Amino acid sequence: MKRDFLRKIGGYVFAVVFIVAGWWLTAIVLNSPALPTPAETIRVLAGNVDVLVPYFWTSAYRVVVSLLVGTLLAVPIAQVCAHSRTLDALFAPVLYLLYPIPKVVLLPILLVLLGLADAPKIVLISLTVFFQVLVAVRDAVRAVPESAELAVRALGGSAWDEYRHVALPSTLPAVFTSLRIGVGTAIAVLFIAEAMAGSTGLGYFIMQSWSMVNYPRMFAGIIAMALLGVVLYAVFDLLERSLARWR
Amino acid sequence: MLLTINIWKGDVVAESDIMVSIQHLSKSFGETEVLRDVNVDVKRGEVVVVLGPSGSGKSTMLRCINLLEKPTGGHIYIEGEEITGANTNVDKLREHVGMVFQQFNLFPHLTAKKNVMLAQRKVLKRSAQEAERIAIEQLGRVGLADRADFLPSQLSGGQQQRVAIARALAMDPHVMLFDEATSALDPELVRGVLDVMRSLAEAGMTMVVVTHEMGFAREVADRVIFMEGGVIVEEGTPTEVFDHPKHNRTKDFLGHIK
Ligand SMILES: Nc1ncnc2c1ncn2[C@@H]1O[C@H](COP(=O)(O)OP(=O)(O)OP(=O)(O)O)[C@@H](O)[C@H]1O
Ligand SMILES: [Mg+2]
Repeated sequence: MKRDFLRKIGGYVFAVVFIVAGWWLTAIVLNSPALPTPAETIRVLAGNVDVLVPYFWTSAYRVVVSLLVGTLLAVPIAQVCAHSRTLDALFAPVLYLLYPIPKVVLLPILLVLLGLADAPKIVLISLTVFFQVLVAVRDAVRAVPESAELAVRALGGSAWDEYRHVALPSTLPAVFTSLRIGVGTAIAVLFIAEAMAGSTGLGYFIMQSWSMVNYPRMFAGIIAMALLGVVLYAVFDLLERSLARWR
Repeated sequence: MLLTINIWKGDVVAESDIMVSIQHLSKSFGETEVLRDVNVDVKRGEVVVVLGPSGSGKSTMLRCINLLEKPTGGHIYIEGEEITGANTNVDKLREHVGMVFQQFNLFPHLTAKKNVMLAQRKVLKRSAQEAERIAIEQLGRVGLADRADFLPSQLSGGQQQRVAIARALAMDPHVMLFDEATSALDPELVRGVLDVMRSLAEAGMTMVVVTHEMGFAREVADRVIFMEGGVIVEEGTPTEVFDHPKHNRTKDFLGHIK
């Protein structure tokens, strides 16, 4: 147990060293102001923390709210779809056609409809998350054998017991897996949305620094956005593991 | 002794020896009739094995016995009490009828012991201590005392199915229904589950068993019922049905199975 833990920590330390070394080398070889060395970046990050923090929170707020909204809408709909053949027959083709569309192309429409502040970004990311979670959870519910519900009822349980003790624990891992995988897309969409419209969030911060040819500042923004992604990924990974120990 | 009482009280005592009585049972799903005029009496302590090709209505019949399916016609009595009447207490009924399915259907996030405890706590309202004591006792009975703290994912299919049996037994059922309990198992794991079922039968449990395990049927069944197309085609002792089947359809079926 302890050995495993140490090995894991060791793995992460190695990974960080590896990435930083690679970055350093690349920066030295390229010798371009667009890619500062790690040391320079840390200096700039430290110098810009005060400026960066509000941008970071704005972005974090948008992406977290969107993940919540998308998930809370998707889970019940997925459960209903998986349980009702009629609804699924109606909904499945719609889903099939809409799922592969990159939702980010809807951004201009949302900007026209909802303005430049939080609303269009949250709607857009929620939409992206919604479809990912919907498909994952629906498939997870379908994988539960039909007799699982019967088994609970045969033991004297209710429909709620079935949901609480079978459907939920069987599908929760799928929710967190899809969220973990979805974090990358969500941040990408967030970046595009913030870069294109408005004057808030890390996406805006990065592109504004870029246009001002302030590359170290731009890079600090990029690091902040990467950090947001890593933190969210790690959170979902942790949730997935602690709640889904049984898999 | 029984005879004297029989003379005294007539049918009443004779009936109390009948654990499950299925009378003129029919079941339709919409237009399709799945069971037609099925009549079965299962005596206390009797083991009845139900055979039949796929789609013959075996599962549907079992599910009617604990009202997982609602019969469309006929009557079912459990320990003399009609369960097909308008005001059946379904919860009470299910406490006395245990069921094991082809899929193990354990709660994936709970250990074997917790799986056996949950319904005891929620449905029978037993204390945690009592539920735990019974869980350990029942897990021991199915040979899994040393696996009490394992999660389902850490158990083989055969072990999971034995936990499912222990979970049903912990509810103190008066009759156990088995619907192809070994069909989803790898061949080498079938044996352990059948052994548990056999020891249950030897301990006097009343059982209705749907299975394709002919060896088990032959050795353990008191009576074998062959169903096809929603009706009982033939029934009798294992020797009668297996060695001297009367109906051609039974012969065909047994021929196919062998
Ligand atoms: N919920 C349902 N709705 C409609 N038809 C059903 C339903 N459940 C079962 N049937 C039909 O009833 C018939 C009997 O099904 P049942 O599951 O009882 O057969 P079985 O003898 O258990 O078969 P198997 O050996 O394949 O398990 C089948 O034709 C099946 O398609
Ligand atoms: Mg069946």
